[in-house]
Amino acid sequence: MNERVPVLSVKDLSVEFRTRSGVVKALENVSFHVNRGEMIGIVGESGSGKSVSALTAMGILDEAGRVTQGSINLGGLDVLNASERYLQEMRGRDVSMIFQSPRTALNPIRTVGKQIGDVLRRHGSATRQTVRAQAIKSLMSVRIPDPERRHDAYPFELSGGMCQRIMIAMALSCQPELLIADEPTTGLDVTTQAAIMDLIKELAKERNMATVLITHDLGMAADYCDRIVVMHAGHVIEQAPTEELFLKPRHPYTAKLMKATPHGEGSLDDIESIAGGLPDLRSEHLPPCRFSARCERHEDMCDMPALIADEVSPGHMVTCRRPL
Amino acid sequence: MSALLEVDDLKKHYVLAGQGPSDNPLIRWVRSRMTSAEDHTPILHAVDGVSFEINPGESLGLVGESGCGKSTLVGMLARLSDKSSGSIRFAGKDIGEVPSKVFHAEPERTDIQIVFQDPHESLNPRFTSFDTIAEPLKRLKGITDKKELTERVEAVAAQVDLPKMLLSRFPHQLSGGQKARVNIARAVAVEPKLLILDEPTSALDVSVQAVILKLLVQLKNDLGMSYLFVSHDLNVVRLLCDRVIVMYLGQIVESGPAEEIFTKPAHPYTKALISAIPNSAVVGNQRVRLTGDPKSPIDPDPNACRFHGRCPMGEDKCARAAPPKVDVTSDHYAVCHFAQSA
Ligand SMILES: Nc1ncnc2c1ncn2[C@@H]1O[C@H](COP(=O)(O)OP(=O)(O)OP(=O)(O)O)[C@@H](O)[C@H]1O
Ligand SMILES: Nc1ncnc2c1ncn2[C@@H]1O[C@H](COP(=O)(O)OP(=O)(O)OP(=O)(O)O)[C@@H](O)[C@H]1O
Ligand code: SF4
Ligand SMILES: [Mg+2]
Ligand SMILES: [Mg+2]
Repeated sequence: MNERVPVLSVKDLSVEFRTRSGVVKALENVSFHVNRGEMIGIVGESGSGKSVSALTAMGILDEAGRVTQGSINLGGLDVLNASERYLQEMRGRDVSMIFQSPRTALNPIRTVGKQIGDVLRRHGSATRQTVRAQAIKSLMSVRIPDPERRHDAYPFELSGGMCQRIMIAMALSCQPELLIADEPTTGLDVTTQAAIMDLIKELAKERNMATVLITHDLGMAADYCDRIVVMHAGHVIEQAPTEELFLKPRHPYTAKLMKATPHGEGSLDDIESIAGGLPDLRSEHLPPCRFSARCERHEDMCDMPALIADEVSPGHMVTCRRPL
Repeated sequence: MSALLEVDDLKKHYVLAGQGPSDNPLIRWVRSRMTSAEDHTPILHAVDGVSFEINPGESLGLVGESGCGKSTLVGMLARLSDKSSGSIRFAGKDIGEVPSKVFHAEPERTDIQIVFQDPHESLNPRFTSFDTIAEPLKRLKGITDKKELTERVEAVAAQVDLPKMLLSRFPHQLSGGQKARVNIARAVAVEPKLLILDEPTSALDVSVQAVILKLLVQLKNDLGMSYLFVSHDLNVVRLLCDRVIVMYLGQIVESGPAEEIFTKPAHPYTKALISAIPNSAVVGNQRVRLTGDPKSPIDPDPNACRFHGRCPMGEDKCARAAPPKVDVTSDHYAVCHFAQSA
């Protein structure tokens, strides 16, 4: 397949949720794509819409959610207009997702080895005779100690980080074309984290898999991603090749986000938390730039409608009237 | 000063399901015929002889690899699960003897609060954020007045940077980090003497994380709250904790003042952990990459160091004898054949 054809392409996506107290405009005009063999990172603070973007791309939006505009193309499939049967087939065959809360995504009454085995069998990559051995191999690859015996453990018998690694093993067993990993290694210690990310990276390379890594850990995004998409309050506010983003962030929010990362030495007071919070996404009159209330560079021109992404250099898009 | 929490030789062993001795005499008999081995039950040593103290107003960090027993340990301390042996004394009382099933009726229930590792799993799907935070205030603090309750809930929500508009939402309507904040608010609301936090910040972005850490420091200063802070994020531990204990496969391998642990780690595992911190200047910037697989917590060899096999310093004797506890300084020790007193 052509390298440059995106495996996933999201265009102008807007998503709303109905709640008891009003409509939450969770995503607005979100666009991003990921190419074959590429790893992109989606970063941004809590509640900025990272998980909702991923779930919508997989066609698993909460019942109260509604796509009000936009399109999602997943390996040629028009996700928003595809039948549920089609989508189900695609999930687990072409796309896998590692969910943010791993233990709840596992079946509590089936051993983890069997759950991995189910995936392997469904994909025809194991037969009845080889399935146990392959599942054990898969447990070993995510560094579960004593995999022969742990094969028969139930999720409740494993630690949080182990369940997370089981999810990762399952997702990778599918040999997907696209892997969406929502905070895959949070809660894992640094050494295990590195081992898991190396594994994902290696498999991605081997199989030319496209990967979307959702994380709030900028350091990890920097280490592993080719390109980074920054989200804020349901908008994509900047995207650029990794190195360029770190060297020359253009959106004031991106710059703040980088400053807020703790760096080993120093005290709590040295960490600049970003003043203000996300705006109330239920409001009827959200400003065109949802960062404006927190932004030091804000001027009247920022409040003019129709704020669109600007390509400041090849592949570097910024949605800001007064970029740095 | 007497300690708030004293943990002595605490153990939690799990008998592995389906593999243990059967209640059925027939099965026992069949098994005894089929294998020559004695009827041995595999036992998983999740927590294996852990001792430490937490003083009032002190924050203790607990670090260690995934699966080393941190959640199992804190589960016993919060009296959600029963120990296999050892003792847990809280404010002088042996709460380890109170079965976890009836602990909720003890007065200490209010004084020990825990923030669980998985924010989603620990929230009741039918409770709004408001209900979740209000529940312990009603049950443990006896606050029934609607107005007072609302005020209290809104005040803690603000403290943890949880926007008021999210109080009417159910868990499935919240993002990962928002759920984490609801959990922290619930635990902080009743102002416990000991707050146990199991990976509280891993779902939080740096900005919210800073808010939470500052809140914890403030509560410690204002109310003298003590913490047991479980985290894989060593930068955060360094910022928040006075002392640190490092666990490896169910046991404490090093314990000492935070600054010393970070600048002069004495155990090879701690050294590896610290050198792996991104942009850490310690340990001469030599990244120690651990090779080899961790040992199994199932039936560990009592006459060997559990880190042997991955340890960059390991030698023959590490495989033949359990390492001694060596005092590095008066309040800093490491459990290793090669640890030395300063
Ligand atoms: N079912 C729902 N009903 C109402 N609001 C929702 C629903 N699901 C998500 N939201 C809101 O949409 C916004 C985006 O949520 P999302 O889960 O995508 O955040 P996130 O970027 O993944 O954050 P985190 O890092 O905390 O996981 C949040 O403000 C959240 O409260
Ligand atoms: N109910 C149980 N039955 C059998 N084994 C268990 C049970 N609960 C935990 N274990 C085992 O105890 C060990 C310690 O698990 P624990 O959850 O305490 O680890 P942890 O240090 O919290 O790890 P993480 O950082 O991944 O959360 C693991 O090997 C786990 O599989
Ligand atoms: S006792 Fe030996 S194997 Fe264990 S930590 Fe020390 S040097 Fe390493
Ligand atoms: Mg999320
Ligand atoms: Mg745990």
